[in-house]
Amino acid sequence: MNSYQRIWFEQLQSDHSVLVVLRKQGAAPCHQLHYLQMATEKLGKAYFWRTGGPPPKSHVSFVRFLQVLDDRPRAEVDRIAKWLGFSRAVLLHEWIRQVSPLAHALERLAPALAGDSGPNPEYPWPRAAPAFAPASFTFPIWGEFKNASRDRMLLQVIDTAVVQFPNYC
Amino acid sequence: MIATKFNPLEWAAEYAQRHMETDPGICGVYYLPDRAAEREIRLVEVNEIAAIRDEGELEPLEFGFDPAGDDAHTVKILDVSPDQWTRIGRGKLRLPAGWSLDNMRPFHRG
Repeated sequence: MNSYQRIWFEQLQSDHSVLVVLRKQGAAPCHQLHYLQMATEKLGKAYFWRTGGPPPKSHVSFVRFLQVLDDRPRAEVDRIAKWLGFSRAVLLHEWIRQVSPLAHALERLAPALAGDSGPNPEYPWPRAAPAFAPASFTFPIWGEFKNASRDRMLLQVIDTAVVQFPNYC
Repeated sequence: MIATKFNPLEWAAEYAQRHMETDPGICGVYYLPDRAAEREIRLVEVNEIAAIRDEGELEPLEFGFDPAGDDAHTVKILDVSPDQWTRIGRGKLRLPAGWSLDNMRPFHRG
């Protein structure tokens, strides 16, 4: 881990610890989604500092982060897969395919991307005539996290990816 | 991934295939070899479901592969939306500095 990654990892751990507290306390989905989104983005940015140069200023996709782990030399992917809870590299590859639509949907909730008419976990919308508050909104994506096992597994992999970060970064 | 003599086109095809397998939102991958360094692989990945912001300059994401190995290389990936890709093709949106569409090689889902 280089010095830049260490700084980003520190912030990632802090964001993730808030996410864990929110989850344990059963906080409103908007807050959990907001911190989930921040944690996944920081995970990607912390990882991509490994080149020593800054990642793009724009959003860094969690799916891209997973793909780049999967692109590493085979022996390394085998180890990373095990660290993330998969018995074989091929299972990690398959899981990325299954979970990527949900991961993209989570990222599209960011206010800058959701636009004026879409749900986002931070601000009431539409901006000019607010009709929805995130605190009471039923996010369709939240139901997916609660129902499908592969989607619940996304939360477990994120938790593990944060804890194991020093091993694969 | 297995490679004998370093062949950037083979690596580009491998990345394209793997990324299309794991992300159903990718509708096309384009390898842009022109003006790239010897061991630099430039890819544009067009994605219709990824969260891609449509503001500011386009910036690629960079990562290295096996820096100490025989196949060591750098990969630069530019994620764009279908609309951004159309605008790039029409010259309405700029690629990152030094990137070119000349001699581009497309990869599509099989």
